[in-house]
Amino acid sequence: MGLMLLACVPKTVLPGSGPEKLYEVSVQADFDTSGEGVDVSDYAEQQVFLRGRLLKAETREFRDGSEGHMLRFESFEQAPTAEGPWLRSELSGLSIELRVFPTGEILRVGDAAHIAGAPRHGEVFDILLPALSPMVPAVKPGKESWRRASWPFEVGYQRGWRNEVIALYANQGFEDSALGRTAHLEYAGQLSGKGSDSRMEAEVEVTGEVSGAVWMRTSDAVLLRHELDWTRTVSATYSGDVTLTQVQHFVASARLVEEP
Amino acid sequence: MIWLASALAAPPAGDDEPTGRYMTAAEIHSRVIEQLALFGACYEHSADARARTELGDVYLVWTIRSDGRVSGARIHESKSGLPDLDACLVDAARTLRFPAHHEPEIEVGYPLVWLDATLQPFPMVYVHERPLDLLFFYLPEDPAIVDILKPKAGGEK
Repeated sequence: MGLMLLACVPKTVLPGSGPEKLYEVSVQADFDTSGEGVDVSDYAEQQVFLRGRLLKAETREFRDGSEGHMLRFESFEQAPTAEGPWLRSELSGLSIELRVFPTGEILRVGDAAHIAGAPRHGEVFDILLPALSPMVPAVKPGKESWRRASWPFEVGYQRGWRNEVIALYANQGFEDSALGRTAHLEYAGQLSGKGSDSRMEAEVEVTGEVSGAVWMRTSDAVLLRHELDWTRTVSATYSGDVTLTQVQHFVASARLVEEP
Repeated sequence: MIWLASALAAPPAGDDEPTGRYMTAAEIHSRVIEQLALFGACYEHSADARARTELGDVYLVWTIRSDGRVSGARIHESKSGLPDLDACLVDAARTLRFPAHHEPEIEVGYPLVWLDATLQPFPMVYVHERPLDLLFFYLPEDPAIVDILKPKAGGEK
């Protein structure tokens, strides 16, 4: 028990001193919503486009080997169509902390409540977190390997969810780029998850499918690019047998554009 | 509107805040206490207030902008019976300073308690929290939807 507690203590606090990486991000999201016992016909079909830059910086190290990474939403804009009009996203200027293992495994999302809920919807766009911190297996060119990755998103006591992706990664070979030699992997798999909202007495179930491609730099395993196409169906049951279901479809990309 | 009290038992700011730019309610409270003399001066300079050892509470609200400056200071409820004192307290609230932070703005409420001819530090501030009633869905906080989804009092279905 003592060792477990010790592992939670930050070893070093390095505010803003770690290497920073700037990713350019774009998302096209489609939301199909239906309800039983509640009328959501005004929001049956919604589409939103999101673009901006995510600054990722190491902030601290923990004794268990995990690291704190600040993730800052910079100049985020959103629009109802690909052509605009682009308006400042409420996510813009906000930050969270990802506590991750060097493998990419996300242990905790700090300050999540600040980006959650309307009109920020950070818990919906949480797919950007594993997008920037993918758990990619070591696999040789022409070979395949399974990998499971999960990530939490909690805004309070029993208020949050955990999504999980189990995907088969296939190494498509090595490629040279301006930012270094990369391993190109494509993946496809299943998404699932569970959550709850104690305030609303809601239970949440998630199912879905994922596919995408990642380009990882071979020298230091840094993500250079991620293209994804993920669909998840979110079903929540509230008191009185009221249910809400939303199919969330994301087509997104993240690309490293700047590093020291 | 959801106003949640933040007791002093809240975790101290700093140790677990690598992003470092969100203010906790505990930090806001700490900053208010540091600047309590701004309000105390109003009581000291009001002859009517100075003449009394006890006055009704004055509940102030204000907004902390992202640059740390205060806007929208006003009296939410006053039991002082002294309009000049209330006006002075509002002016004092406008001069409060807080650290710059990430949130566009934070709405804060704080009761001023004049007892034993002294301004008593109140043990908490009230911070207006975003409702977060419709987690997990890309939906607006539409009251027509939220009211249906909210648990009914007394287990009513």
